[in-house]
Amino acid sequence: MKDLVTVEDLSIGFDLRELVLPAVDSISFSVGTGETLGIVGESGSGKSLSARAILGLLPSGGKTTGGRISYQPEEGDAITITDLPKNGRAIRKLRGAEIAMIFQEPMASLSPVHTIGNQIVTTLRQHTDLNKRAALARAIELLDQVGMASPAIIAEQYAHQLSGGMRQRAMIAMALSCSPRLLICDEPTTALDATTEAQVVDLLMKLQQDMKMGMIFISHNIGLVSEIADRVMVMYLGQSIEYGLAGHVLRKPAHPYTRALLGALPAFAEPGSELASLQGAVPDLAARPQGCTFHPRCPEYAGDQCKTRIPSVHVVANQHLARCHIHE
Amino acid sequence: MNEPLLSLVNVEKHFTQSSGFLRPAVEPVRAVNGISLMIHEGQTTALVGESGCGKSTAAKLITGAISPSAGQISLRTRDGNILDVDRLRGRARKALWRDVQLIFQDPYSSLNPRMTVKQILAEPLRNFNIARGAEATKMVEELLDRVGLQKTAMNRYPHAFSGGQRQRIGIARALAVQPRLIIGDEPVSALDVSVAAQILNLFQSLKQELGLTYLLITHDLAVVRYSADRVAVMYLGNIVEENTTAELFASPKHPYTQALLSALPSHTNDQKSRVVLPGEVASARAIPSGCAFHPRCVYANDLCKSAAPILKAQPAGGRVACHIPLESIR
Repeated sequence: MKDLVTVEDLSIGFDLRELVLPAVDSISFSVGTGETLGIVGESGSGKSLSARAILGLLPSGGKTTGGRISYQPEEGDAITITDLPKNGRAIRKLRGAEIAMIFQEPMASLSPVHTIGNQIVTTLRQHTDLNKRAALARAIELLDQVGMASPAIIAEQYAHQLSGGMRQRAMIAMALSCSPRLLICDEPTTALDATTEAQVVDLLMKLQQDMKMGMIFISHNIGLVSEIADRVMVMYLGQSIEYGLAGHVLRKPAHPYTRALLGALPAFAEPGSELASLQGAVPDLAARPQGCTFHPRCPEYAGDQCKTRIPSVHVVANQHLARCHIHE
Repeated sequence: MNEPLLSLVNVEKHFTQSSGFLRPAVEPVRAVNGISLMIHEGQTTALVGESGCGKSTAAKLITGAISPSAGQISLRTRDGNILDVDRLRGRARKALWRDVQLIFQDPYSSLNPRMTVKQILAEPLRNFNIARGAEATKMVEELLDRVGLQKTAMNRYPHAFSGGQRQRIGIARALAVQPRLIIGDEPVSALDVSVAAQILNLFQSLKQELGLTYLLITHDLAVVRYSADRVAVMYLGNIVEENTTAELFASPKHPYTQALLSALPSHTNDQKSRVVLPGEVASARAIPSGCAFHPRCVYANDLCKSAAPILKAQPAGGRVACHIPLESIR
């Protein structure tokens, strides 16, 4: 299996004039066809930034400060996304057509002044040579595919007329309009209710199988990720601190942070028992601790080396990596 | 069992919109449709449901912030009197707020940004004539200590704190008047996992130390399973199932509860069966006939379409509003 996207030692920083604030610190991962990578972490861990970098969609002030991202198209040589000019023709050709993304808040990502159908037609006409009528027919077909009850009527409606779950379906339809090979989902179900979340997750998994897409699923919900992902990357303060097969990472977590994250989940805890909560909160990026960035909160603190030396990545098992001194 | 601390009997709340010239009459929003619930002292009761099911409206009714359209809400006071929450006015209503306090979801918008933490915490002490001046300062210190914040926090403003710390300030403010019932409206849903765990632990220890009673309003079943003694599940303004937490999670009787529970993550099995419900929650303006859940229920029959089931006590304990509770199917 060939990897669709390969990220090597990617670093992202924010330009604050006097200094560059590091937000993502040399992370590496890859996603193959039909495979799902889950990225887990708390707010500020850099999980969304890493995924957005693949589309060249960093927020203003953000820039890649090191490493490379390469994309393998169906035919021809790999494209190095990090070398493409920002918002140039080449990246725009990939965006939406080959690599698509769905976001947490569909209301903020859909246009409030264009009908749903219109928005899908625009995407289709941008990337294919369908005429208006054929594009609209395809849009309705897509809305049907994502489980809308009356797709032709939905196509004529505006985003505000739909419920949260339906908006998310509309956004999925739009993301799938050009049959992307890689789909990036940034907290796609966080704003949804439990039963709606179940519907959307079910839909995403079904569509992925049908279309053999690669998928990156970003979430703070480690439980949800464990159900969906083949491989998981756990991030803390811009670093990948654990990476491996979902089953391994969740059942035999090798990093104290992953262990703490799982221990803090009420879903897995004995009712009434004390939750294994971490001390303090995620520090500010500007005040990133020396040595291992996790050491001030680490329950398995291993001594001075954690304070002074940045731990390197260790192989703890087959295809299972962790960045912690305890594995030296 | 002794008298409940709080009881709701057939409580309804319908929001109507006034119609008039050029403004046609619209159906009222039937947010709460006759719920009955008892909350016992020292217990944590959870009210769960998805957005729009009426759980937050229920909280507002209990605090007397809005009046019920029908039904009765009564609170047993410290000296054993029973108060009708909706009839309270003036001073008596203030007495209600000494007993019942709220903690909100968003720690950013529930604290006044122009007040220092000391002012925020001293305000209820002054309002309820509990303490003033140096005595109030001492109590503020105790409150901060109780919720795990430093004394130095007193002279800082809310913006200087993280989300979890702000939620602690909100908890300290609720505790200031020494209430007996604390209503938490999604108290941890805006927080990161590791911080939410800290707050849940704090709730647990406060409950033991102060003998508090909680009403936890949330959509998060994991939080419910972890911290509640009893659970009431709401769907479109009605309680569809109520039971002890252990019983409800072990064997849900209502198909809606079953679907909700199947969305919980678990460590043990990789491929578990999520119950995916068809369709969406109906609007509270147009609640389906019969059982409000029937359009999404796989077990629904003709009876479900025409007659609304009543919340009935089950032989094995708990109450269910379903014509064909799950055990009879299995």
